[in-house]
Amino acid sequence: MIDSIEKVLDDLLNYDDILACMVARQNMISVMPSDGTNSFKPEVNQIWDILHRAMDDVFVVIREYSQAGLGEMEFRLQDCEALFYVFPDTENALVAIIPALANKGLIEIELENARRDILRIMEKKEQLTLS
Amino acid sequence: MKNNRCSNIEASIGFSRKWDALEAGREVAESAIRKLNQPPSFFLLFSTIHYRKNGGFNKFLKGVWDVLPEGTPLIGGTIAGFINNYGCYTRGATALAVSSSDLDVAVGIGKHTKINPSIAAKQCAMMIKNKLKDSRKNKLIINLISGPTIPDLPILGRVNVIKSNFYGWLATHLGIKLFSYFGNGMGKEEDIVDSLSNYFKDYYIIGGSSMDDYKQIFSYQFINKECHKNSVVALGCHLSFPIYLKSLIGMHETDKTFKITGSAYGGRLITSINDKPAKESILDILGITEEQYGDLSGFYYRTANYFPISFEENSNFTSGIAGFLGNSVALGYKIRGNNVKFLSITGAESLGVIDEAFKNEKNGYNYPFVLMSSSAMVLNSLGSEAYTMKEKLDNYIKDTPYLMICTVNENAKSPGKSGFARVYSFNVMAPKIS
Repeated sequence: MIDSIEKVLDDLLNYDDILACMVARQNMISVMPSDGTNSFKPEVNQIWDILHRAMDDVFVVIREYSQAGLGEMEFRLQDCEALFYVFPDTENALVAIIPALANKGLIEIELENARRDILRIMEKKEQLTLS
Repeated sequence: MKNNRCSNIEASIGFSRKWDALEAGREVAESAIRKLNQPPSFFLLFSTIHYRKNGGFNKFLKGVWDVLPEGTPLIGGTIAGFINNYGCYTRGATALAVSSSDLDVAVGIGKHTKINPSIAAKQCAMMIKNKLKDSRKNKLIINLISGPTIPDLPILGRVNVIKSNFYGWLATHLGIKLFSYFGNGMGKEEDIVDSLSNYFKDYYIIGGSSMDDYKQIFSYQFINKECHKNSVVALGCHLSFPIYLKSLIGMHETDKTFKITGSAYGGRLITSINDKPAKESILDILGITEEQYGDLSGFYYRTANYFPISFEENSNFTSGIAGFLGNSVALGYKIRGNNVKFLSITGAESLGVIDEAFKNEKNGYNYPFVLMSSSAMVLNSLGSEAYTMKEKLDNYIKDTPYLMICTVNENAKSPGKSGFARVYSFNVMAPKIS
């Protein structure tokens, strides 16, 4: 399952405007692209430490409200924007870092496609476990 | 999705998400034609800009032609995104393949649209007119026009906001004319659609402008085996079937209005508003300061596109703020009156046009396929909510093959009427079969 999700994340990093992406939860990055942070674009590496800390704070809110239906969150930090797509009824989210002045909506559509792909992978794994 | 074979016409949608241009070309063609019982009579091919860096568009077209039967009339180009029976995408390739013995088809191209849009439209129209027999009752033009591209300026780079009054003045009165000689600048789609409407008075027209991922740097058009820039491509089609076409704008008027008192470049740049410098007046009307955004790039990317304009003298035309050149305001398209009103759009309005287009339609007819052109800015503003749009389309169109292309400017026309090239519109076309 991890390999399949890695492939979805690797695919997202092919976009010029996706600087970094991962599946994460509070204090834990669950799945990274196959090449880890090495595949992140240089713009995000410069502010990765502060971004990572800010992301952890956002996950406190996600953890608190995901069961109540919290679906998406975002914040802007310096020249980057972090988008969180929460997987329903979990504390996990697909996180993507994009440039602050990117055409966000067009990128969001592909992030939504990635979120749907990851959900399908998770559901498949769940079905296999149950059977 | 069914292979939609009804009466004597069948259609299918091709689709690929592969990154490699050659493989994507093969897959999009193969997935479209494998569902047809007869070779396609024409093939509409669209892709996002991503293949430019993943093999190039010549390889993409080579992949298509590895599969597509020789001689199939093909037009298309690059778009910001699309919605089809498979989903909503801002990366990938899609196609609409149509097969019927009850239609005649010809394709045309006009080059150098940025410098001389009317001549380009004439070239394109003549190619089609010379090839098409005047045989069938219903006539259709599907087109894709090279959209606006931001030029790479010496010193300044690729910008749509020039803060300096000196460089802004230079760009307004000299630069913008020069850009067009190098195939850059405004798309001038409105001139092309006006010309096409004159050449094809008794035709239905539907189309849009080719573009990239809204960075507005690249724009490609496809015709048969060739990939072009700075051109208009069109497909003329005479059909035995009646055609349903509707063009709608899903926006509301605001109470913000102004009077243009000075313009340049054929009305595509506003130099003064209410006898004051245009930029200052626009910001004042919208209640925005430059300091609020650091520079106006932030305003442009985050706000300006949500305030299109229309004209009291002709409310069928809409335009947008394309940038700031010193004290001038660049519009996407030329002014159609001096009394301007700001429009605004909500998510509900973006979706509402789909209800308006489809809710009372069909009335005993079937559609073999549905082709739509809509605004890439709507897709950009809806983001992941664009899937709501797809759900609505699925609800109305069901498993009939459908394709919505999202472009920077859309155009449509019904027989005997004027054509409109405008922003934020939703245009739908489908042949009707009883």
